[in-house]
Amino acid sequence: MGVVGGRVGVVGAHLSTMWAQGSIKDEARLVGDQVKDESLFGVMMSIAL
Amino acid sequence: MTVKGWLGLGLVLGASHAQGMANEPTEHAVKVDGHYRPQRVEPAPHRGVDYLFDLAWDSKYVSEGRRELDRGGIFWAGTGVQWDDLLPFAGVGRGDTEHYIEWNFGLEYGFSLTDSVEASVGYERIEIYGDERDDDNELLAALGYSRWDKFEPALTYHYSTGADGHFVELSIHSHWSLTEQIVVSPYVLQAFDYGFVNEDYRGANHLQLGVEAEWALSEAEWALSGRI
Repeated sequence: MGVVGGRVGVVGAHLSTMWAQGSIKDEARLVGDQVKDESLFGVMMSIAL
Repeated sequence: MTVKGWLGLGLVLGASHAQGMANEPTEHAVKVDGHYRPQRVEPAPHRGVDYLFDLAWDSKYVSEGRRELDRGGIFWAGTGVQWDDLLPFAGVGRGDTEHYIEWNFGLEYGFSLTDSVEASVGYERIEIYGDERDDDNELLAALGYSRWDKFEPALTYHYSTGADGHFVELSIHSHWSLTEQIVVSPYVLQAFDYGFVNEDYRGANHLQLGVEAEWALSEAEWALSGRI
């Protein structure tokens, strides 16, 4: 059993959108070298002890 | 070959940012492509060793211009030990819809080229378990310029031994402090693929716009507990 105090922490989020010029592909609908735009978001939490 | 991860580094960067807010940092963390990327992290002023932990979730798994999973997103967990300029790290990703598990193990070394230019080099081993088994070795390098308050250019470089290809990302982040603890960072990124993703492709890969937000938590608010 143990309890430790965290020194620093970060909670974050991000949102990204990207326009393909090269190789982003939708594997399910891939036709030849078709490229595809994508958008995504995420959350994160970090801590340093 | 699929690649990615940098979860261990994600820890470092996130922590670095937080340290910065608390301890007047010399630099900011930089995140690229929805994932944290290598940047120099100053050791904590009062200790030579930092233990870093990170949890994350992304709605999609897009890495170096590839959508790695057809359906769903991915959870990440990672840990690392910042010992002066060295950072051994390990991370694991697991698809939230598809059967996909990815392990990353690596070592990064960070150093300063000038007062305003930080650099890092590293190695990462990637092991993938899922519907398909895969593995790869990557060599990594990063450069960041921190002289300007509002604009932070960065360059990251990946070399895959499996693909025998190179991938380069140029980015500019702009950091805006809404409060002492909250920083919002819009960015623009242009990536270039030289046989890393597509064997026969050489040139511009994708243009990316994004925004990141981070909330630094103060020291006293944290407590981890365990019980056996």
